[in-house]
Amino acid sequence: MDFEHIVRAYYELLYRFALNMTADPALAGDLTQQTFYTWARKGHTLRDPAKVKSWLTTILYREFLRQKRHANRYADTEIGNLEDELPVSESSPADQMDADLIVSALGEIDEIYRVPLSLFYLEEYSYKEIAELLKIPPGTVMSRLARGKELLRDRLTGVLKTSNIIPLPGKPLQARKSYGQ
Amino acid sequence: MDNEKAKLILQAYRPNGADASDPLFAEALDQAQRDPELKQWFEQQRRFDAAISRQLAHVAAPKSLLPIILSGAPKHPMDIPRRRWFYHMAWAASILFLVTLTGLWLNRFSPSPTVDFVSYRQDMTRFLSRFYTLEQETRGWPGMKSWLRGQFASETLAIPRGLLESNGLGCRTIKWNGRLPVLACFKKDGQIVHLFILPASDLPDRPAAGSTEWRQLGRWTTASWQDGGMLYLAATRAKASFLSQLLERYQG
Repeated sequence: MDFEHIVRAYYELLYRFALNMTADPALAGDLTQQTFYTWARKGHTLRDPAKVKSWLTTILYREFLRQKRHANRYADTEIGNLEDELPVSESSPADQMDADLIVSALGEIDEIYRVPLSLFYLEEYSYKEIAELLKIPPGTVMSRLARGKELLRDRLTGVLKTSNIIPLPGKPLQARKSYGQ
Repeated sequence: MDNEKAKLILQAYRPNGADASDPLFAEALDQAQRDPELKQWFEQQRRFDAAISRQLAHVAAPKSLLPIILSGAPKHPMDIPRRRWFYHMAWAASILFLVTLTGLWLNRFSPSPTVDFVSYRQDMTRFLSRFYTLEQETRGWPGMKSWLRGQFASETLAIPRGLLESNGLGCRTIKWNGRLPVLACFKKDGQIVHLFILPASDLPDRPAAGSTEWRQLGRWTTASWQDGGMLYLAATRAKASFLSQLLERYQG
């Protein structure tokens, strides 16, 4: 399992997961780097190559929890003026803005819903894999996803009233009309 | 199965259809086909989920992240450890030895951390060996230049021309024993060069002006010099000749 091959295969996925959890690009980058640093040191202990993705995700999630416990360390982290310097993504500016809104809305949701929701929306993890990764029963994953989506919709509803990017299920027709549908 | 139960299950159905073959969803999906109200709810739910997933998939990792992670690649292929008892014993003995040594070392030195050029150079390369992020990311020198000017408002910076002609990746500050060295990262011919900048007065035992001090620290090739009241420390995992070439152009 070549280091570079593993990094190239998973760094984008891990970065997205980290960003969804932290809503902070710098912290997401730190978490992603730390995950591969751990892989460089301990990856050889993994026997089954098919489990690389879940191994890395678990490491990143544990590191997220660890850093959260030592949140006072982040007081030293300063974010520079990134607005003009952030890398250009393949998406259109409108799409990027929408992604930012969603990441920001996710960041406002309680962590117990945010983490399974983040994994779910990456579309790479089944509810069983999420349950295994978070060490919770599959039924709990389902109820957290249901509640998490409800919270996400609530957060987005206010913001999206002036735009028309996402249809919001379960809302009154009157409300959805205001999104231009 | 009532509709509420079906909805709970279907909330976990991924929008890309990756769960289509999972038997857990079969009954709920079947019910959604038969019940118009549930069907409408599920279609709306899937549209919502698909839109969120699509938007999140557009998020790109910073361009500087990949080269920085790869710059920390292990030099040798990772081997599967041989699980023989004496390896475990050797590990245990090594750990015990290191713990004892660290304890002694901390006991002796912890009251006053060393603040000299040698420890600075060592700590900065150690910092690079761990992973880090940049406060300011850029796609070229102009962006870095204005950021650096903000850090050293009253000082004149003399960045080697060879680095100025490289791709700028970004900058950040580092807190080190009450000092604030600045790190600027460049990429040239696939190699990353890290340049630490610190007011020379912060380290009394710095290299003499007019000379460049070269030192190999583990896998890091380093070069240090001072210019215009600033102390520069360049570090790269490339060969010394590569770094020398970049600095020669400056010295010339």
